[in-house]
Amino acid sequence: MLQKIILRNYWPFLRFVNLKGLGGFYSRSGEDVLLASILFSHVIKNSSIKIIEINKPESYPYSLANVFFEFCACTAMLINTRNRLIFAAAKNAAELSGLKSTNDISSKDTYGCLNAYVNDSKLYEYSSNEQLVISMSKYSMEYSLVILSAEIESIQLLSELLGGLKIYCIIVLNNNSGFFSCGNTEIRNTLAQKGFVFHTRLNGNDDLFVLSEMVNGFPSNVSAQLNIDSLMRWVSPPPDSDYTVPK
Amino acid sequence: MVNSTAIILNDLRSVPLLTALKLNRNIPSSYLVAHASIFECKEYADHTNILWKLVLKFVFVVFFGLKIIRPRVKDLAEDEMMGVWSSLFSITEDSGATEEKYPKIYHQIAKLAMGSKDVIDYLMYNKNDSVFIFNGRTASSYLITKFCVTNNILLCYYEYAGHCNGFRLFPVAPHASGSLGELIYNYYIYGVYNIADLKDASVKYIESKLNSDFAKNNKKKPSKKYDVAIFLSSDFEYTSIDPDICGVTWNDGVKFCRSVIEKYGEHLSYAIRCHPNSIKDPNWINLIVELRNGLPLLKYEIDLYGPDVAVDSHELILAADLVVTDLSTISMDAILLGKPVDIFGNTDIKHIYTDPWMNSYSENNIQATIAEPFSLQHNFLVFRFSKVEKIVCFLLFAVHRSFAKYESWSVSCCRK
Repeated sequence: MLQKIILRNYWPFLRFVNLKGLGGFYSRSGEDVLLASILFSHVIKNSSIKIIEINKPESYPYSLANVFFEFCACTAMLINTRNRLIFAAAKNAAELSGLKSTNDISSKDTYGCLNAYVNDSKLYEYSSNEQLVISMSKYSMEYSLVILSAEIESIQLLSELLGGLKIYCIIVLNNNSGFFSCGNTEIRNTLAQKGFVFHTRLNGNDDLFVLSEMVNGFPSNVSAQLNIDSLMRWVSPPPDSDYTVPK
Repeated sequence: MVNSTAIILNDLRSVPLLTALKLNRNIPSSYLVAHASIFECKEYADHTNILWKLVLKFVFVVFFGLKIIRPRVKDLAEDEMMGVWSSLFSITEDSGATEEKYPKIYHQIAKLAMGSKDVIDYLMYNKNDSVFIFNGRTASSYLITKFCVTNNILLCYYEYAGHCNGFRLFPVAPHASGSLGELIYNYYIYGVYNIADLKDASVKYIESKLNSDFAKNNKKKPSKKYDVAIFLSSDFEYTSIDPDICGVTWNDGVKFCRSVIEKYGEHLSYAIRCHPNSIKDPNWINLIVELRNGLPLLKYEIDLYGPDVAVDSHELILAADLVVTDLSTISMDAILLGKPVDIFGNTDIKHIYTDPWMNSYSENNIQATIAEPFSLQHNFLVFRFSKVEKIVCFLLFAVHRSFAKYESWSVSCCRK
């Protein structure tokens, strides 16, 4: 409750969702339910979506990308920054150029991706974040979702990905440090500067960010140029759910 | 990223005032600037009293650091008049408005246009990276818009946001142009929204389009069937638009009809429907005469339905094999009624109607899906006000409205 009051004070249109009681498809606290629900309109219009998952937390049995494999032609890039490995999981072959392919998929549990092993999913090694971003940008410039936990290595990689790729939606898991577990504000402000809207706080634990052009159509590149990051607090879906054009 | 931002206060109604303040509070290294003429002259839809304007001026200068620019420029060149004409036509709803016909209004808006030249000098001196301006098409804003576009200064337009308690920020000119269509289209494809809300909004949108006041008030059926029905836009709304700014070119009725006939040939039968809204335009009879004289003699007669003819545009659409429009949004009605449409102007509807992805997504039944992107408009580019701002906005609106009511009452008293 206190967390809600504190966060609403700065993000007046932030939605608070609790799905712990409901659970999820492959998650225990409903993270993938929220993602599937929020991104549904996006997914049905974009037939082949791409997802990046950075450092799946050990407490999560499966990758949150799993649910997207179930209902759409999704490609997931599951990254382990500690071992500098990327697992390119797709129903159809996902080739990453410029990276060294490796056969050591003994650590497949690290990725928790059930469906990834169909067809030609591959494991690659990368030497630096720059090399990884270049290779991923060659594969695709647009990624629908990035899943990461609130730890320094993941956030560093995210900022590099944001420099080279267009990303539509980001979920930061376990952002629950600090005062009343309100989480790290720095990442929220950094993402606002990149044109992201702090859309939903899940289970008082996870932050969901959505690009402004997905919420109200305002191009994020223009908002970044105009330096209007604090205006991102005032972007929201219609509170009354009414999209009707006023007469 | 920008280093300094000028927020131009060029409209004193409630939403523009609050928007300018909100932008100023939220954008680092931004400042508010207005020309003195804004507090002395009346712009489009401005009904406020000069005393109220002086109060606003005092409050903004003292509490919000508004910079007031004093008048210096004393004349306008011929090519600097577009904003003046745009405001004059909109205020008078007369496409034949001239200085002689409306001297009082003309001189006020000419002063505003001269004021905008002073603002340009100020912007040049300050070397701003970005500018926020209200509307961008009126006398007080057009020249500034033109200056920013010509000099590659990042320009953002702020505007009303209907009944959703906020304002809109347009990164492109706020006209129904192809560039705006592209933004709507991207929002539709990549956006996150509830599908039920979208479908609900889409149904309401279609209902409002097909049951508009024009559709309700004009019930006469066309006398025969046509090969092509041409729908014209209302002149006073579109005559003064700058293609360099909004990417839309206005063709007068004669020019547009000629190009349609050139494209489809003289052997076809044509109906030309003037916009029913043009009945407000005191100049409409002259426009009809121009149209009659300007069109070539065809093998078949052209039937011209003036704005005074209560023909049902939807019946006319259904009675034609093809509908052709330039900038008019009747093209949406025609698409919804399932008729093939050729849109000449670079409009938002054209952008989405002709898009290959949109056509394949709707499985070549675009009639079923075309309303969906436009149904999202209630939230399109909207930034919201806080609760306190909503209350202040309501109070300012009440003040403005009381001035408007007083003005209409005094005009009716004078007439009596």
